[in-house]
Amino acid sequence: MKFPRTSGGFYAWLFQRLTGILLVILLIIHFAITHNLPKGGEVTYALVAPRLATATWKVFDLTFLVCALFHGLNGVWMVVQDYVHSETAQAWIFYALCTLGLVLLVLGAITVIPFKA
Amino acid sequence: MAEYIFRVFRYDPEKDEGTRGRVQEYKIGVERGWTVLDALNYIKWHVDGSLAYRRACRHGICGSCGMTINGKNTIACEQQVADLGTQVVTVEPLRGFRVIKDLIVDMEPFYDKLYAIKPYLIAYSDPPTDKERLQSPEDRKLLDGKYECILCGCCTSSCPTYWADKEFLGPNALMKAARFAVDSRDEGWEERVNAIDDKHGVWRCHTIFNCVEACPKELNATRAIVELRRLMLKGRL
Amino acid sequence: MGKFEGYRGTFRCVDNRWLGTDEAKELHEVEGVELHNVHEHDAVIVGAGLAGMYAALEVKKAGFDVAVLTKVFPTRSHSGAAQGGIAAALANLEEDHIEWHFYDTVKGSDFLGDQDAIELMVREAPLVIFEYEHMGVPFSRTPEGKIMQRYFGGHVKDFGRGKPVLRACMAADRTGHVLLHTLWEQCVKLGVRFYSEYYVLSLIITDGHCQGVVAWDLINGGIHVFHAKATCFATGGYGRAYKITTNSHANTADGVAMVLEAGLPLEDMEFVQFHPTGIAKQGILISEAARGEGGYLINDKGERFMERYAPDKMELAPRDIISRSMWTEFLEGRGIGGERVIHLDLRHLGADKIKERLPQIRELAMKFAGVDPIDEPIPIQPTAHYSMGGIPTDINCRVLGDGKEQWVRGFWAAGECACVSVHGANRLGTNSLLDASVHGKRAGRDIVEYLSVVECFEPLPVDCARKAVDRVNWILKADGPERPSELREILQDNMYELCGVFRNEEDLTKMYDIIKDLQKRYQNIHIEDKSKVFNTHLMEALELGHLLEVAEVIVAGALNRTECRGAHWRTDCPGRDDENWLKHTLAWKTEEGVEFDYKPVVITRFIPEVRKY
Repeated sequence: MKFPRTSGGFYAWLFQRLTGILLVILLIIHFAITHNLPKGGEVTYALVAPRLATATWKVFDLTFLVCALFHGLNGVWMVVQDYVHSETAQAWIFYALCTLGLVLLVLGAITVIPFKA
Repeated sequence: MAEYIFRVFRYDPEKDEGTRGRVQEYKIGVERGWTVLDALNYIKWHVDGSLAYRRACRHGICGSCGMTINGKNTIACEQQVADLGTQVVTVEPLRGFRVIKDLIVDMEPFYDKLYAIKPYLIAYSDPPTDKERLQSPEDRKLLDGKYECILCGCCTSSCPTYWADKEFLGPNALMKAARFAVDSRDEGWEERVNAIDDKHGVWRCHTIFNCVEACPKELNATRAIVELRRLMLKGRL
Repeated sequence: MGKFEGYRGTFRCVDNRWLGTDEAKELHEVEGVELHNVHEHDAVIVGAGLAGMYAALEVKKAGFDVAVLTKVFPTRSHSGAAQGGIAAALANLEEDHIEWHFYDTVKGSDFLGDQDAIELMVREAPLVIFEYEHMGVPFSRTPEGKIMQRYFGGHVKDFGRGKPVLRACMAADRTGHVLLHTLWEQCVKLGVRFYSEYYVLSLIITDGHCQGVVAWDLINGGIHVFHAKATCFATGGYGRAYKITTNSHANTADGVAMVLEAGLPLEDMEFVQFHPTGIAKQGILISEAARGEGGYLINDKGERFMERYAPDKMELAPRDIISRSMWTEFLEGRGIGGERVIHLDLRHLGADKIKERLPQIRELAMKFAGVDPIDEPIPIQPTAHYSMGGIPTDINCRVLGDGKEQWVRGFWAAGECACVSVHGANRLGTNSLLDASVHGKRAGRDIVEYLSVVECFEPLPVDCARKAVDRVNWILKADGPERPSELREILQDNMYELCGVFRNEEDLTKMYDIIKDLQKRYQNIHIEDKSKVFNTHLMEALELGHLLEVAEVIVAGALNRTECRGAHWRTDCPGRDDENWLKHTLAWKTEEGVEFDYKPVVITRFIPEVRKY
């Protein structure tokens, strides 16, 4: 089994960095707002749910989800490329990671998109 | 004269074939100012003539005697024994390469990576006849920290990515590519970029910085790799 | 019509092949040489320093098949250790003329250099530098972007009358390193075939015709025959005959010894240059660039003692004069702490200048002398550096079988192993890289001309590998009581003391007897490594054999030349003796010992005068 020959790794590298930067920003926003920093306080369903139902937050969370999935799975893929030398095995793992990514994306999406408070 | 124990890796392909080699201990007196190469020479000339290692200039310019001393890659001729701070000194061949005999490794794969990036100036425009090409001191300065490489192999041998992926070009070849990329006289970027823009090329580096720590000439291969990436990013965007 | 037209008819062509089947079988039967171990190349170059690789490049460019044999990987060659620069009258920073360079080289050679050869070399110098630049050498640059030049000992303005001149083209203090690497890069580009870690054992010469070499494959073990129309030696010098030397462990007179063994003469072997500034006890070179940039030499009393010996040029006087001045200071008890050490003081240059212009020197001083030149002076002593003598060649680098006129057909030599002679009795700093480059190139060009006329290979003698096979087998089986390393240490210690900066008849006779004794003991050596794969002990034993042969010629030559000239200084024969000794020594090895003949020095322009700085 062969996997499609992508560019030498430029895009993988570029998006790993871009998603990395985005994740840091998104994480900070996420923590700041969810935990009501710097004051802090208890996180309750009543507080969080109305916010999650807005369109802005749905876009925010979807971006978050895509970035995290790409960053994590691409990272695993890099390690695999280092340590798995058989082309066939690499291809299997590549498609498995893609599938896993898709499944998780769909699971995330069906949680985020239809959410109503 | 201080007593040291040298634990030297030995492998004789005619006797030790199939084994992972053995370690031989030599107890010798080391004079003040001796380098590890001086100690190895002493062992070879006075204790055990069968010990095999490469050496030539013994002052850090030829790059022959790259080896792993107390777990750290360096060239033996520049490593003062006293600076190691231990009475037991372990000397091993460079990791990541096939051992031919004792401390001698097969450097061919290392050189092959260099050949792959076209390690020479590529210029299509004709140079001026009977004159040098001009290059400003500022442009020349860009080569500093890249052209001084002595090809000892310490960097590539210390690179975990290279251990894992033997097709990885490695810090050495990539730094050589950077040396030409930043040379104002070179016009070979288009040709060279194909070799380094590869999944075994510049993108494979995980910026682990082992190569920087290993380089006996204190060159920064990781920075050179980052510079290459920046150039490629500029080229794409 | 080329100059080689006469050789066209002399070759026996068998379908343009070099061997008939029967002959091949016979060659096969020579013990240890298998048929697949016979390689055929138009040109075989031995040695991969500047001279060897330049020659290879020229031959390859012309489209011929060239192989370079080297006992170390090409970039490990000792040309790379040269630090200061390569001389050429480019006049990039101030007025300079080829004629001035010409005069300085003649004067530096103590008028023993052949002036026709010197003139050719200095005229080609700028062209070679520009070619290097075009190849991609990262020279340091002037503010206008031209190649940077610095001062170097012995290079002055106005036919020796003026002040020092900026003539040494430089790449920081790594000039040799960048030249060597760039040449190697170009060889890679053109696809020159390298046989790295092949140790050449003997020449194949029959009836004054060279047909290649026999070599030992270090990595796998095994004898290989290299059959060639053209063979070029670029094997370097023999500094390892001395205990304190700047030379690499590999500079063991291999090429010169093989020429001697082939019954050919060597020229001017008594002239061995001692560099004044080697790190004490180690011999590692601190480049003249340190003095070129303004470093001082200081004795135990804190004096700049060069005032006494070369009041005008001071620290920039030529190497031989400074070495002798230092040795005189030692003998008169003014060495640092009464030892054979002088201080090289750079402190007044300031940290910035030292860091920018002399980074490698600082690194060497810190790593090998434990001294930071910004804060402390560097302890130094004279160290064997360069061999002016070597294989006699004409200006086209063709090896002369009688040392004078008769060419050994198909055989060239260039670089330190050859004696053209451009350095005469003493070499000027930065002229060695120039000599190696210019003559490597000239040899290459001459080989190309020869190859374009000579079309096929002549059959090899069937026993061509016999001598080499026998020698390797002898050493592998030898089980005498002597250790090669011990013999070598005796040789090196005594050469430095008895045949060094100052020489006299008593010492030299003593040294000659020591060598004779060592040669006898050499017959009873043993080695501890009997294996085939990468047998460095075998190589050391072979190297020692070469050193012992060549040391005998050095000492005999020094004993024979009863005058002081350049690097050869006989305390018992004061003064230069132009009447009797303005001539080159040619030395042959015979059963009885060393035999001498002489040839006149070529003087075209500058009449010998007193050499004063």
